[in-house]
Amino acid sequence: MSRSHCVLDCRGMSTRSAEPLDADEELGPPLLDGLLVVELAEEIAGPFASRLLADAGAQTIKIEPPRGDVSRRMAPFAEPAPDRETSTSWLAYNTSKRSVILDMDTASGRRVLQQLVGSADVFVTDRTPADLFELDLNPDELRDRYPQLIIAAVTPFGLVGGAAEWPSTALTRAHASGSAAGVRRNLGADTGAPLMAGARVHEADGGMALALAVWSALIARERFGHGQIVDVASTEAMMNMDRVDISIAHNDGGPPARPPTKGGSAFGGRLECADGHLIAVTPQSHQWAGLIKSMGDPEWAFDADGSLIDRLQLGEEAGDAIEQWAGARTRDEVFRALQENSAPAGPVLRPSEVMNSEQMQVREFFDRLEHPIANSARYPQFAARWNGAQRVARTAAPLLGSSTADVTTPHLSPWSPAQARRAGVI
Amino acid sequence: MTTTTNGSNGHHGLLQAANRPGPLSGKRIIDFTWAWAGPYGAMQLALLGAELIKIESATRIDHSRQRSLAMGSFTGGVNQAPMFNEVNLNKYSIQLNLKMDGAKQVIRDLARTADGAIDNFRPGILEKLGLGYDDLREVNPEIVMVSASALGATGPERNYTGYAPTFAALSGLSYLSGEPQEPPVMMGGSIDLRAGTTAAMAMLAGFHYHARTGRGQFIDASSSEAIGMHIAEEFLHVDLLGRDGDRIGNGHRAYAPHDVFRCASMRAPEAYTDGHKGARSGWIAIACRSDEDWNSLCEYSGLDHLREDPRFRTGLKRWKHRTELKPMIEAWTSERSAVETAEALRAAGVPAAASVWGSDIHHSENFRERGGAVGVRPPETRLREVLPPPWKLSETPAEIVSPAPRLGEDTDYVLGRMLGYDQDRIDALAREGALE
Repeated sequence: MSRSHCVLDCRGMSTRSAEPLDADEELGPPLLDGLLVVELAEEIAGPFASRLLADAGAQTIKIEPPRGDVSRRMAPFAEPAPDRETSTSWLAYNTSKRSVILDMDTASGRRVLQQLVGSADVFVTDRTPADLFELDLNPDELRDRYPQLIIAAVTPFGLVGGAAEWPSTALTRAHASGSAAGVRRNLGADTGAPLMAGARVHEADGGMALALAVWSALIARERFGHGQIVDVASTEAMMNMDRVDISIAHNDGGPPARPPTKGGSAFGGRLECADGHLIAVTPQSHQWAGLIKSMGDPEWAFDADGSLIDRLQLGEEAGDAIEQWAGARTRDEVFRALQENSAPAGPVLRPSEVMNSEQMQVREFFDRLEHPIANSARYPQFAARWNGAQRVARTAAPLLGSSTADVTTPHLSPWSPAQARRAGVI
Repeated sequence: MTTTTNGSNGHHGLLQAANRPGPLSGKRIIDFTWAWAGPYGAMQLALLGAELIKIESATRIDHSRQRSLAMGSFTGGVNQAPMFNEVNLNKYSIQLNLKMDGAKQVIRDLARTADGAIDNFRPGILEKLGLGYDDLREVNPEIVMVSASALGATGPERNYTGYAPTFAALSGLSYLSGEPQEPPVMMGGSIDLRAGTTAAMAMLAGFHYHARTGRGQFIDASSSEAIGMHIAEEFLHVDLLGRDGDRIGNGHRAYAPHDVFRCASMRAPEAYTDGHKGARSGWIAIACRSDEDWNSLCEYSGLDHLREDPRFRTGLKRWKHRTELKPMIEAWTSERSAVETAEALRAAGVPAAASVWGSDIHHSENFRERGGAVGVRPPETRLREVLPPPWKLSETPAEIVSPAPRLGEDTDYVLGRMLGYDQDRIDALAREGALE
């Protein structure tokens, strides 16, 4: 049984040693046990989507051209040296997959690709309509030929529409979607340049939307007996994350940018503590009361009758006092004090601090995977624990082409793998 | 083109309004969520055809009916809040005061007929009410329940609360967001919707599993982890590079130019023929991935002399001198409109886009060609155009068929039609205060 059994089941328990609630209850098979996913995708969005399926137990075959997924060449690289196996973004989005090289410039390479796609439950791709046409993988034709197949495409602007073939990068997609303008709006009334969020979070949005839609299509297939085409425009996935504010801007001409956030005194803000920043958000009156209580109930927060003054009536001095209070303490001290008094807050953690936090460790959000070339490292899991299904023992990203012969052999007939290699198919 | 959904007749028969069955048609889900993250997650399921029954109470109003972190207090009534509408489309609303025994019985009766339940309370709150997973499982062993809390249902911080900006702070994303020389950015509502997307996916995986194995289950989702899973590679940097990443704003670790540049306007004045009001100021994002992109940019912009400048001759040199390069490009963009300039650059093969927002998104050609906005008419307000779902499913489309419900709009419908309570029973519940 999986070692995560306890974590899955010990709701309400605070430590790893707690007994599972239902120790006698057998876990079922992994979520996507027995499913076959074939992926033809690069960089972040497509590979992230199929990684989620692979980590959930689907057998996932990644088709790569002989040069490999371009993300294999994206800096930074793990020690000791840049190598096509050690790009961190390659490693992060390709766990639990197998890698197959196919030369799709040859007719026989495309034939093997066709056969692999035809044998799959889900075909994940990020190729644009023109590319798919070239590869003889037109989605409409695939649907007609393989009615059970789920054809799952995440492309910058969608399979349909005049922008399908536009050149774009993560930067231009984040700005074309409204997401970057959305990030800027959080900074207050400043009308400075729109800004991408950190890491590759906007690109991940496309992958999340696709994986969600694939699970929907899998349910539909169980119920109605047919596959379908899933068309996700990653820019639309991103803009949906800001749908509330985009709607208000479009329909109501507002809202004004976020009100000044000094001292977290209104509805939330960034505080500078002795060792870094912290975010406090107290929109509800009991949360504001909690913040004031954390500070030791300072006099300025109360009126003559001893009741709390509405925070919107307080002037700048209140914000100054909160900032001063936080500035004299560490993030952790402020965080604990506020949370113990039901005031929502979070320290601005570095990724290394996230990994070392007791909360993340107890929940085993990260698991350590071994890789033949890169050092072993901790990889984040899915952000949910299904308490009825076994968790899959994940594997690190595959070496380029490491499953070519295994996977393609049944599709190569009448060639042997050696003959196919000589013929340039694989 | 905008398709319009009229909510003025209320929600009765909401699902019959859908044109074709969705993946979750016929599924019933108890929706205990409030604020933004949980409701958006539950709404995804409603867009996919499920019957979402939102449990509300006048004694504990979903505060997105009243205010938002970004807007402050909303001055309209509880049935007019635009924030609420955006994350509660396609839902039913029943008013129940869960402290009352009669209301608890309603939940148990709903659970008996339901396929799923979703909440975003602090862990333990529903259990205290006698309505936790173990209670619901007792009446329906096959129920799938997602509980999405700030930090998850286990661990020493499980009782801590949070909102979008704190999830972003606790996951590492805030630290990585912002300009290099400036403090980290406090993130906003988009973080909630990412957490909601994660919770919805967890529920769908649970439903799919149920369809294959007949098993229900409890799913413990953490909103802070949800944001963490969106930035996976940043954690690998810690173990594999021995350091944390840093803030790079709109920049890139290898490419230049790779930034946004101020423009004279969003669009050329003659583009505003249909009366819509777009942004006055404009920004354009331009990314040069190669010498080829760079040469095309220089050629199109007439900045040919930059190609000859030794500071910018190679990709590495452009990257090193990117702060000197930026004002030279901006001198050119600042006399042009963003949308038209981006269009011309793309035609020359250079990745470029106007940085859009609000109406400029709604009026983009590609947005319209892909079906455009959906019009909804919440009962007490005017027509609103909202974004369609983020995925297009060819055979079982996700559809917006209704605006968000009024508070308690469907109480009688849920009790009478869905659960078969007779009027006497409903009246008795009302008398004991269970329907407040």
